[in-house]
Amino acid sequence: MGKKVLIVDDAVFMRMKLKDILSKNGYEVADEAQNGQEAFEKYQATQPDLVTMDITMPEVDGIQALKMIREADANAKVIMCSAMGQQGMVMDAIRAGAVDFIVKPFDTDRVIKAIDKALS
Amino acid sequence: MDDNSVYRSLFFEESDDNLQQLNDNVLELESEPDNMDLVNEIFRAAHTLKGMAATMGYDVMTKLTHKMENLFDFFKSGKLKVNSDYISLIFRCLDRLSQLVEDLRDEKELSQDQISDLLEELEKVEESVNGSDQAAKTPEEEQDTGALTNVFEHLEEADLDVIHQAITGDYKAYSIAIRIDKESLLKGPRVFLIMEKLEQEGDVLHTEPSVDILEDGDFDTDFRLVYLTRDDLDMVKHNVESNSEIDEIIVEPFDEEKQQAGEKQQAEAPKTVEKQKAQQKQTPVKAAAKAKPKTTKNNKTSAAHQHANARNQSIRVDLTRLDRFLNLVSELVVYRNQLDDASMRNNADAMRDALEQVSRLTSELQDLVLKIRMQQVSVVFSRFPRMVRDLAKELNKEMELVVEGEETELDKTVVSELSEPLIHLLRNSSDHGIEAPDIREKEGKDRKGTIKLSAYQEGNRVIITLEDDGKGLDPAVIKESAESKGINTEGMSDDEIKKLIFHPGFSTAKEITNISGRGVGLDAVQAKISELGGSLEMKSELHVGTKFIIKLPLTLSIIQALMVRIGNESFAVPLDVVERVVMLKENEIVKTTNQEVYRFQEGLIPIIRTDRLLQIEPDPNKKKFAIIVKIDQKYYGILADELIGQQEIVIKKIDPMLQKINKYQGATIFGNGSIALILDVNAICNEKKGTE
Repeated sequence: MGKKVLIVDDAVFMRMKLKDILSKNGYEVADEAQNGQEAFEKYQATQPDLVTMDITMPEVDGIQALKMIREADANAKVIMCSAMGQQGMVMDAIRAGAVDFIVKPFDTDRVIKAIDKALS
Repeated sequence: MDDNSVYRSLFFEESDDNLQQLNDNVLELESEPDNMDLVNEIFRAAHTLKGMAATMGYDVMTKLTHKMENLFDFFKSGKLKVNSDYISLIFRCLDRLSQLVEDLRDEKELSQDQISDLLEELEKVEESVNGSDQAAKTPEEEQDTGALTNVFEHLEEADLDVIHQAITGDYKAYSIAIRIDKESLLKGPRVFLIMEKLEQEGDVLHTEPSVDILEDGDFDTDFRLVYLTRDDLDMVKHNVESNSEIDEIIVEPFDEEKQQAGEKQQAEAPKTVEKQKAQQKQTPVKAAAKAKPKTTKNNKTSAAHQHANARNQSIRVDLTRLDRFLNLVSELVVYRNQLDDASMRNNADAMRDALEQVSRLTSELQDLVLKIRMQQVSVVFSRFPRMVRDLAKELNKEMELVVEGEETELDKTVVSELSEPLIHLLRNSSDHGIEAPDIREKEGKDRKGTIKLSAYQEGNRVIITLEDDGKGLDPAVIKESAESKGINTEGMSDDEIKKLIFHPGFSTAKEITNISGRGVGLDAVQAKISELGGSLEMKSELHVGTKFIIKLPLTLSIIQALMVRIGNESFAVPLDVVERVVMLKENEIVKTTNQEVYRFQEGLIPIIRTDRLLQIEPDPNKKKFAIIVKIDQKYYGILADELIGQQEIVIKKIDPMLQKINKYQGATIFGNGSIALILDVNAICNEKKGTE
């Protein structure tokens, strides 16, 4: 059984893309969430091994969600997904305990390497 | 490369959404320039758009979005104040982006030239904000090539002291060199993450380049650091290796002698290094330029594969509707089984009961499918506020668009065809209707003109009205203009004169502007609306305003029809064009020199002998009926042998070959399984008009 990953992104397109990458590489997608609040709730419900978290999302953004999740589970592994030009926010996320980050556009190899590393 | 074709349709759908949202929000931003929530919202949408474009590998689109996003970033950080020049620039970017998306949809290749003008402008804005700051920074970026080294260039005495002290305790010192993946993006945070992890187990004493530069990402790929920790070599290595996007690392116990030897070497060779650097800087540029056409070619071939599903239209459906659909279908299955059962047992009563349920379900399903095809008119309307804003700027007028009933639903086909005629009418109202602010003031009107666009449902039609409070139509002006164009207006009432604006080639604009009056008149609008099975009316009062009323059928796929028989064949005539049906005798048809006419009301109307037209053997014994239809304000009489009745019919497409003969709109299937063709009354009558 592959490790379970929770995908968080507000764009369906991005979620599909990640889901595709993950499932082709032996990971199981625990669930998908489209904003921070949903991510927090689904984290509790599915207890995934890892979360991929988009930074910019409506309502509760990725960093807030990261903090919420880490508060509830100090061992939570969260990889941030960001785009170029978000240095500051990525740093904030790292300070808040993100294990790694991947930069859009997603490169399959890079995504998988980051996830492999985070889970090893 | 990943096969992105699966995501194409999704990409387009979400891009459209995001662009629309951007348009709306930016428009709002213009009136509320200090609304930071709005800026954030805009930023987010632009960001999503960029991410998607980049993932699809649409570089040109990514680039433009990225540059545009920078502008939003300046708004966010307060470095730029929102003003209408910037807003206009953004709108132009959004328009260009829409264009790019359209091109992509059509499988066209994008080129950098399509956006270079906008990029230039955006860069100018950026430069004005950043000053020369940015320019000075870039050339400084160093290119790291050759072997990774952990020899430090400038380690100070003080640092060495700290190292000595640490080593005498139970700490160990390591010199670490890390080369980050060449392709790694966001190097700053990457370094930050590596450091953060190291700091958890020890102290980073010294880095080259400095921490600030590293965290800003202003370096090429290599950096070095001195690290003090209690951990042993393997643990440190493991710590560094746990990071992703690292190309190569060197972790060694700190060696002062090696360090000093290296320092000397470095001091001797700076010149050659410099030269090398300069050369290297040029080559990658060339390489990149060469590589580009290659990649675009690749895109082209893969694009060709995707061509089949390129124009694959999709529609978003409310989930509750889809659920209801499923419910109905499952119910249908239950009753089908009951029917099966009843027919096995030959139980007529049970069969009748089940059938009753099935027929109820079928009509519910029919309703539902129609509803699923429905789309809110907001899909079209939402673009207009932006358009009116642009028009107001262009025309130096003040006007506002008020939209009502955006949630009114229409069949998707109708909705998507609606934008063209509406844009035309809106342009007309803005250009000819609304007066210049000064004139408005003189007439005691508000300086700001109002155009009201509303939609609502009435029975099985949807009414869309477009109303302006402008100058209205002046019959005298129209009359003059019509006469100068050689249209005879004698004996026409004011209302009839006003209707002349629907006359082909009529334009009241004194000078041709690029907003309206490009020769495409209101007649085109009217033609489009009737093509959609609708009608267009106009009411206008001088100095008060003009109102256009568009009436549209809810759906195009199910219509009310009059079923008739000609010879032994059945035909359907769409009921919405039928004025009335009269019975007539052969001797009431009068032959003129070139055609046959019939006296109807006060005038003579052309008669169309369908039997001859469609080459059908007529039934001489039957009474004749004339179906009086009204096309383009003119009456025609279509002859039929027998009336079957009025019926709701489902339009089925017919073979394109058959469509080409221009007499049939489609076909429909009767309850008994036989087929009837639907007469294309419009085409038939227009053909008749042509032969007159």
